[in-house]
Amino acid sequence: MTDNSTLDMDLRTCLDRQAARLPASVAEAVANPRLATVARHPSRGRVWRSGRARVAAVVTAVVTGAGIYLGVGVIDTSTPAFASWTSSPEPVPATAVGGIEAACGQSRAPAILDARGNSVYAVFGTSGGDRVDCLTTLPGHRTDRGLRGAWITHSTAMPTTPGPAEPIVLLSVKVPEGNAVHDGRFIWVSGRVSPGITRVTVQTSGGPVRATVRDGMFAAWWPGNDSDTASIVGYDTAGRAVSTLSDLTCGATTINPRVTTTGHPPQGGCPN
Amino acid sequence: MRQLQRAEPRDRGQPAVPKPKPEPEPELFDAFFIRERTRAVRLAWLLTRSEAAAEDVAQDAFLAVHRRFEELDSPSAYLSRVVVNRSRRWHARRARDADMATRLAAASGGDGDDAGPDYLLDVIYTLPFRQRVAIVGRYWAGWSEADIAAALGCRPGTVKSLTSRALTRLRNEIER
Repeated sequence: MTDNSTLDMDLRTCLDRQAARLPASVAEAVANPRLATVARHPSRGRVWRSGRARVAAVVTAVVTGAGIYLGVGVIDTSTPAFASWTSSPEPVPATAVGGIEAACGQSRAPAILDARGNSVYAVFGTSGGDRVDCLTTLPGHRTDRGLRGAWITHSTAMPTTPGPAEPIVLLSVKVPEGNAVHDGRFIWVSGRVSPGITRVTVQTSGGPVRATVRDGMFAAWWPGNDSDTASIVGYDTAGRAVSTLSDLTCGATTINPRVTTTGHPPQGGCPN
Repeated sequence: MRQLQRAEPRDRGQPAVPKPKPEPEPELFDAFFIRERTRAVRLAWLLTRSEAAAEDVAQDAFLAVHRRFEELDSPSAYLSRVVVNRSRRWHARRARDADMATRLAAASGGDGDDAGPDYLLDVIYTLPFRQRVAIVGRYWAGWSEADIAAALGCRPGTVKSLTSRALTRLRNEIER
């Protein structure tokens, strides 16, 4: 007969071992600040990081009265995730904006939209001054494999306009995560640019990605892997690269991109 | 040793009023997140035995905590309760979608099958969900009966009964 103390000990050992067996990649998916939305210059002096929040099921169900999980049964695992993605942004029809707001659970117009293929990345300002980042399906398009509903993070306030020493301010970086079957791996970046910057390109491991630039903001997203590196380059009207943010995916406890700006010493960078 | 409080100067014969203790600095959400993240995802992992579900449950739980963070007396307890509730919902949904889940798992070798062989653990997973929470709470999380009761939304007496039944069942299964 198994005595109480043996059973107690076996249970503790078994559960401890099982808890430790959780792959680091899964724990990291929640824990890694690189997955988080980071405001580098929060106007309220408070930085918090939100992990991924897949609230699409709830949001979509509430907004449209439809259950998002109905789509799970038709996942096409033979097609690469985000196969419709394009390296240059595509225009978003004005009629699609309301659907994007609904899918992202927002009632305000988006501050910027970056559409590529079937999916669109949207950044919203909230009534409380915070920011919501969201990747969802462009209304009227097929759902990309790799995207169920929407990925949404809610984070701190929009930063102020960048100064001359730092013409690009990074608002948000989200690096890959998720289940390989259900979720494609993607990266989004967004931020503010000074008025002198009219074009922004993200140099990724897979090639350049031209960002959407609008009203002093930029945004881009691309299918990516955890090992990807990326840098953001801002160009002025004459086509000169005036500022570069690099080391976006450094494995530090905080995202601290290296900023190189023409006429100014480099700032930041990943800690060694 | 009792610390003496400095008396404030008396004013118009009013009695001295002890100086109020300064309010403790409220914890910021980011500090809470960093402190609790590993525990939350591991708890979800032990309750669901699915990496993807653990990740989703923990993230959703943090989002739920964030929505009410300012008003919560004990965000940690609330987080535990949400993780338990979301894990229970995950099991319920999984049971409803059993056919679909089977097909996905067959295609992916994924959800629910990623724990590896462990006989005692397998037995734990045969327990009804509330009994499993009682066992995981007591033997892994180090919760008291009151903590488990809060996480399950039941009375401590119920926890005693759940734990007792779970241990009996585990013992029977092991000795079978």
